[in-house]
Amino acid sequence: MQHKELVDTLSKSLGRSKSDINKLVEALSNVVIERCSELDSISVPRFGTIDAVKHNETVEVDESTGKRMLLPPRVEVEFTTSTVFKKRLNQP
Amino acid sequence: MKEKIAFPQLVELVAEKASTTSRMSELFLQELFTTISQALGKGETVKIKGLGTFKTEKDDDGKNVIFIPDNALAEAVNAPFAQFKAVELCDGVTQEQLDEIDAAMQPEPVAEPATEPVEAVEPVQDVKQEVEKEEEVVEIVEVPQQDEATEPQEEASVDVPKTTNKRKWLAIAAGIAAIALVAGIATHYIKNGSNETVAQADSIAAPKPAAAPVVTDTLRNDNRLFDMAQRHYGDQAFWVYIALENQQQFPDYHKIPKGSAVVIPPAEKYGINSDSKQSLKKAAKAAAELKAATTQKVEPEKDDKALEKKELKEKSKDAVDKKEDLEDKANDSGRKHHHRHH
Repeated sequence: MQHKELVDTLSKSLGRSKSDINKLVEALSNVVIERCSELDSISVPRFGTIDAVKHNETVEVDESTGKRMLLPPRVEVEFTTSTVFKKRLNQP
Repeated sequence: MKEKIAFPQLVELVAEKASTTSRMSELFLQELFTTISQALGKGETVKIKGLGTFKTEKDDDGKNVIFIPDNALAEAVNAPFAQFKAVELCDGVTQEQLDEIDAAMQPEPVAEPATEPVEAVEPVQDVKQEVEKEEEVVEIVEVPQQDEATEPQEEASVDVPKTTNKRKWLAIAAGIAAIALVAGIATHYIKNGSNETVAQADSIAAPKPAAAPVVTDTLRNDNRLFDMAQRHYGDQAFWVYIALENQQQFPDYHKIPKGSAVVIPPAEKYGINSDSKQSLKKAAKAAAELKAATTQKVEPEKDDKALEKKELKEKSKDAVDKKEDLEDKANDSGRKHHHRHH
């Protein structure tokens, strides 16, 4: 399901214009960006948790050249599926 | 930091961002996540612009949802580390060597182009010769009495090496310093070229103009030229006029020092009108020109410096000969001493 399709579906089921929905989706992604930059986690019941995890800088060896590389720290946005949702997904 | 945001809190945050009611925001979020769950249940992939892609994948304990963040999200979250690159480690460097480097680096001003010529010679031996030459330069430069102020870093580095061993370390230090500077300059230019916003973040304020009851604004990390243009003129495209207005204080708008004030020109002066497409176009054109002009200005400057330095070296060679003559003539050793230390 692409972004457009999702907006269409939501706009129908909520009886709101597409631009309203787009605004809300944008607001949500802005909130996620802001909170994840603070390394917060956002949990949505019966869906899952969006988590920003900071990985510190690491030293890794390039196997082909044998050079040791220092990799910079990075933040990864991770998603953990809630147990309820996962159970529902795996129902036969 | 590391706060857990529960659903009601998320509802409030989204409502605030979208300037809508909490009720609306709640309905929307519930519907959104239900729709996503349903689509995922059918095995579909759901892509949300600005956020990322949710899709199902089979793992050891059955189906699981994985989330791939959108580039915008990944970049925004990693913005604090954006300037870091993966670097190769130099093994076998001891603390002692690092201290030497520190000592050599300290008196060096941040004059970037000044070290350009050194950078060309990376092999240690060459650098060593270079440093020796530079030493001569400094001893002699006192005679022609010029350009000394422009190259204080040479004089500083020459004070340290007395033995050949020390000199060697200094040479290594100079080499490393040069490489570091080159990397710095390169990053700077890459940033300038590819991402204006990043460059803007670096650009920071200027000294406050003494006269005039004009509008000024303080440049900060969260108040860049873009933000000022947005606030004062209603569109960030007009940042270029602020840059132009303040060009006398700081010719390179990327290097405006942090924390002081820039002049906000009156909107009429440049025909600024955020409702007019023409005005916006004009601003974009002016910005492109300014950018081009700034990059060009920086490039030849480097060459000039390099040339200057070459000339200086040649001059210093002549000066060495002259000095030898002088020393021969002047039997008075006190005078020689005087000469050296002026």
